[in-house]
Amino acid sequence: MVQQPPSEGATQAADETPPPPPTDIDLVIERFPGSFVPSWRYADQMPTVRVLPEHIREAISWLRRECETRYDMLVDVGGSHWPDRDEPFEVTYILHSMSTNARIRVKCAVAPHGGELPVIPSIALIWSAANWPEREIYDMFGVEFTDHPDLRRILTPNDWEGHPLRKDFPLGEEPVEFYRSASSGV
Amino acid sequence: MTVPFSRWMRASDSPEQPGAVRPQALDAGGFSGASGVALTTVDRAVGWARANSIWPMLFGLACCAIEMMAMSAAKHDVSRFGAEVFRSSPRQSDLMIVAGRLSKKMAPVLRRLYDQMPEPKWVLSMGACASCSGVYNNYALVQGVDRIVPVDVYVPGCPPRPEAVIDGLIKLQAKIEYDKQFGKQFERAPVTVKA
Amino acid sequence: MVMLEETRTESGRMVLNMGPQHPSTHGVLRLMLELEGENVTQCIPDMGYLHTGIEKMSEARNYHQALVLTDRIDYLAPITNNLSYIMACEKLFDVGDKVPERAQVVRVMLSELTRIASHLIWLGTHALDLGAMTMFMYCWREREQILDIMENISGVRMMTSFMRIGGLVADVPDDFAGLVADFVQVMPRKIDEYETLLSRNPIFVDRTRGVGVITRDGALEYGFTGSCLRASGVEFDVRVNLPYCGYETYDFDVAWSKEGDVYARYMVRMREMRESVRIIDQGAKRLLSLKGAPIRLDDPRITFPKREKIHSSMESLIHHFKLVSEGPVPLPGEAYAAVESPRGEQATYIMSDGSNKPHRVRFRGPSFYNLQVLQHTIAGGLVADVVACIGSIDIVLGEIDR
Repeated sequence: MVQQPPSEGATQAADETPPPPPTDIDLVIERFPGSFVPSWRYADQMPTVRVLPEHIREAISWLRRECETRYDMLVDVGGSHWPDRDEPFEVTYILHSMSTNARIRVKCAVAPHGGELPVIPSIALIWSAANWPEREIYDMFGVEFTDHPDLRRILTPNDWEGHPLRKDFPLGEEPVEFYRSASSGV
Repeated sequence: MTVPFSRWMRASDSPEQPGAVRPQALDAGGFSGASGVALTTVDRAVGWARANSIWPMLFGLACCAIEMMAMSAAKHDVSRFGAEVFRSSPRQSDLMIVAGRLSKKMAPVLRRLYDQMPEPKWVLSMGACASCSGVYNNYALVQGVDRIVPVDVYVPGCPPRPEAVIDGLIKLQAKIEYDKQFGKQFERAPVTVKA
Repeated sequence: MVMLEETRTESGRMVLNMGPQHPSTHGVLRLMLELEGENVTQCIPDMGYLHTGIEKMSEARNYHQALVLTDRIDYLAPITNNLSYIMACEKLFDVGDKVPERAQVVRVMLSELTRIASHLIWLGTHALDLGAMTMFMYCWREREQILDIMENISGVRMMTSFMRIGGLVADVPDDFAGLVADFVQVMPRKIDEYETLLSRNPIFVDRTRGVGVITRDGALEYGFTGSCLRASGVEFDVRVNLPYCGYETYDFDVAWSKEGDVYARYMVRMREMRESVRIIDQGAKRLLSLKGAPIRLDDPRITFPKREKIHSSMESLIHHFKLVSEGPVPLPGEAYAAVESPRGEQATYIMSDGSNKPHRVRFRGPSFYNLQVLQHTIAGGLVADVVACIGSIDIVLGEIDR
């Protein structure tokens, strides 16, 4: 199920009824060039928009303070790794509006350049709730957040090597007696 | 001469008979009836005392710690077995109950706590995660605390019921009581810590 | 791990290392405190001592198998973890609104039972930290009653794994109603008993009122959810604002308070326990009228065929084998599902690439966000208030470190 941009529905019904007021997704797309709704199934029906990394800080700040809906709670910041995509590292922000109970999901994807870590601007300075989640994403996926006040590893030991939730990081299973005997046919 | 407990009870309950066999040597902790004398070895007496006054360390890691607290709380009441004095400091305790999964970040801390405990000391590995990391066979966890500290009793379960931990505790008490208290027992082999 | 070798900073302040083994940090939290006399000038929390790799582990298991791991994230409230994971899976399989009503009622009842159990642990340990030993014993007494109910339905005291995608693993036994009725009858009086011990106890009140104040704006700035947020004057409860499992049809109030201090969080949780008892009572009445109703969705993609069919038909046996060995396979996509756990918004975010294993599972632990504010509340306060603050935020390290 691909999420259709609401503007298509608006053009079909333009003859009889006035077009519906633009949603926050439309406004974000209009305001921040390069933003779009990804063609992907969002089974939880949460409106989703993807913005360019250079706009993420302004977009979150706009949604929080200027947008009419006022998304005033940062629910979650999470990362994911899609090795097959052009921009493999994706950071997802979920925002909640206390007044309308609306939620919006903002995504941001980056690719690493050369052997360096992928870089996304941090929103921890404009929203303190993002501080530790961004540290966690740095720890788990190796995504660097610029201007983060305290970008250190948070869950793994400081001398840990690698980023565990990357797809190329092995699970690290140790062989167990039971499996060994099963594979040898005993 | 060791006299069975039941016979000793009968002997002390019955009125004095001239020439009746009186128990001469009893387990430490038993009373010798009218004569007021108990004969035993220092080893057994110390073992008896140690077994019945275990001071566990108040040290919980994860889910099992909740059941460990339940064990010491109202319904299960581990003080019936003389092990309710949970101490927060390793320097005052002689039993470490490793309750929960041990991450690689926590492993050096656990070893340090173990080293801080005074001899004699025992370790009870509580639950599947502590014994063999349970369902989590992955990069983050130490696959069994016996790689870090020597373990005396393993209690299975995820998490084990408080009764199971108490059972493990009683088994540990038996081990403590009947073990050699002095000499070679505590010359343990050095433990190699795998990364 | 940042090791603090010197115990004094250049300004002559003392550096105190609290945890990871400390009875009042409620787990393996480590706090580095900089003290000037009795006052805390700075606090740096250090986590990760319980990092279990559950998220990575879930990616290596199929959708049914990963359920077992979710119990152990927030180990004080395993049922709500199960529920959020299962709800995310149900959204992913597009069966979120088709779960039978009896299953929904049992889910609600178990969630509320586990909320009370979790709050009892919080109350017992929090009061113990502040010097009230009796509370610990009292709370554990009632908690055992809840655990008996859990054991009655699933055979396990804590980690029940009772939910399944599309319903429950089994129906509740016949004596479930009686046990719940006993509990509902007893619990309100017990909460009264706790309140007589604590609510006006001068020592408790002095140590909690006006301590660790978190304002409304601060709570929103730091992503607070749950009782902590409600104690700071924001009436947000996932059960009311984004209802799930039919919570909108139950009659209950959202407890909240304006003060935002440790005492307010205590009062909010006490009232929440009373409301939970009300919900359990309503659920028990509904369960009576739904006797014999299905407890699991009948969807061949997800649920196992009936046992009799497996024994009699080859196709069902193959179907069962495929579902067990391979697991259910959703369409590519992603789903976020949130529930109100005892600590706040506990959510699971599953991304699927169309294979039988999740591509990415993220667990949003409310404690992870709630704990962020701790370093700011205890800085400037007294050392003795640190344990009051930690206790009142009600953290579970399993959820923070995952």
